Amino acid sequence: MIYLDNAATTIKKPDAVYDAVLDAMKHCGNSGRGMSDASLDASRKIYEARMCLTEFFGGEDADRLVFTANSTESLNIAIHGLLEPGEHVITTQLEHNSVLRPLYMQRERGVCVDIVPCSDEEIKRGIISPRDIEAAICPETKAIVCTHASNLTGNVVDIKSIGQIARKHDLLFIVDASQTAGVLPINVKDMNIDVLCFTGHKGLMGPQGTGGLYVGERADIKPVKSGGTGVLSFLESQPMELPTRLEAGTLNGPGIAGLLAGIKAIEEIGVDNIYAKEYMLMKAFLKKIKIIPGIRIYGDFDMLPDNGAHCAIVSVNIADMDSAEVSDILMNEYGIATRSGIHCAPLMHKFFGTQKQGMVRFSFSYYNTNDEINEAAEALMQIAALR
Amino acid sequence: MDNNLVREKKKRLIITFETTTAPLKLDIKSKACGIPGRTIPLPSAISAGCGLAWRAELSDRESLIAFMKEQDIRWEAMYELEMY
Repeated sequence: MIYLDNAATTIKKPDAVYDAVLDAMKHCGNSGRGMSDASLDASRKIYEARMCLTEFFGGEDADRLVFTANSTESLNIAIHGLLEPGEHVITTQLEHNSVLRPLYMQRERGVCVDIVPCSDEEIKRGIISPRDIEAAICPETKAIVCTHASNLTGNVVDIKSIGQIARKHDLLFIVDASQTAGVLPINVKDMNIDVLCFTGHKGLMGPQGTGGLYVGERADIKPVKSGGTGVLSFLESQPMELPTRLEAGTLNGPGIAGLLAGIKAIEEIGVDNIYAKEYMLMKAFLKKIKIIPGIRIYGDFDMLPDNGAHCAIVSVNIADMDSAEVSDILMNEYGIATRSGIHCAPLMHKFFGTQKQGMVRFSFSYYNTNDEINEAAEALMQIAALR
Repeated sequence: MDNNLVREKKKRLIITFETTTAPLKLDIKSKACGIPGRTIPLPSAISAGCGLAWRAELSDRESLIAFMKEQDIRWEAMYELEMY
């Protein structure tokens, strides 16, 4: 199989990740539950992962690195733990349902949710303008929730500018880094990010079931779940100290050990080298497919030198063919894994007018090869020719 | 890459389900019992918004109905769609 659905999850990981998961499953106990060697080994491994991730994202305090199961859980913790009825929150049309659905829940509670549309209605590339976000700010605004990159087009959002706007207006800035963590540099301090939500199983090359959030000092997140913490057991409420405050129940020790191995591997390879390789694959694929008769390619690929990032995602349609059928043919006849349909990004499909057709998304990883990209492009050409 | 490939569009039987688990039950049980067809992404002609469906030939309809009843697999609807 040629796996080109890395925006959903990366399958190929560094060997150290597989080894770390297995080793932790065999030897680690329950972190923070007792003082046995097994328990302490788990605690040490998880704390090492906290330190490593904190440094990776430019944070200063490993206690503020909270582990979750994925970005969705992180975003739910941030959104439900920070917003109150009567407050106003700004988000964008680019968002995944992991942002939109928690915000819609908050809207039911009386939070005013403002969704900033793409600024390029005429050229239809799916671009968010920081100026439009600033224009949406009102006295009740509490926070801006924004993805770092669209999971549909790969367009990267200028979160540094949005972070400056958030700080200027004393707003909280919550960033969904699902598509960018491990691929693009992220520095919570330089980018004025108050809550960084990430998943472990995509660009960070860890196992599924891992993720987290880095909570800046300005973000006072109320716990949305409570339970066992291994400390302060006679306290009836969830302890208020981070990270315990936002981590109830047993952590995914083996998963976090794998995530730690993933981060170490990324640091060894270098985020810049990972991005350069993925970018090269994406550009090579684009060059081959843009000449296919009837193809429509979505997104902004006019990368400017000062805003030159684009995640390795290329979403397309072939004339009026159902994206589900194209994706099925790619898998069934060519052994190429892609993702069709709506990609949990309903507002972006509305923007492009593809609610019915969906799109076929190709997403590349550091471990894909030029040969795989060539095969995928040729398969797409053949599908277009035989329709 | 097969350069002699000819792709024929014809009517196929498409079965949809109300739950996310029912198509997976059919997928797993069918493999063990040699039942015709395969799991596909839900065609947009039926519904936008993703999901799984079962695709088979029109002639497989009765055997699939019997199998799903036997296995207590609840389907939502059956369609005949022009597909490659």
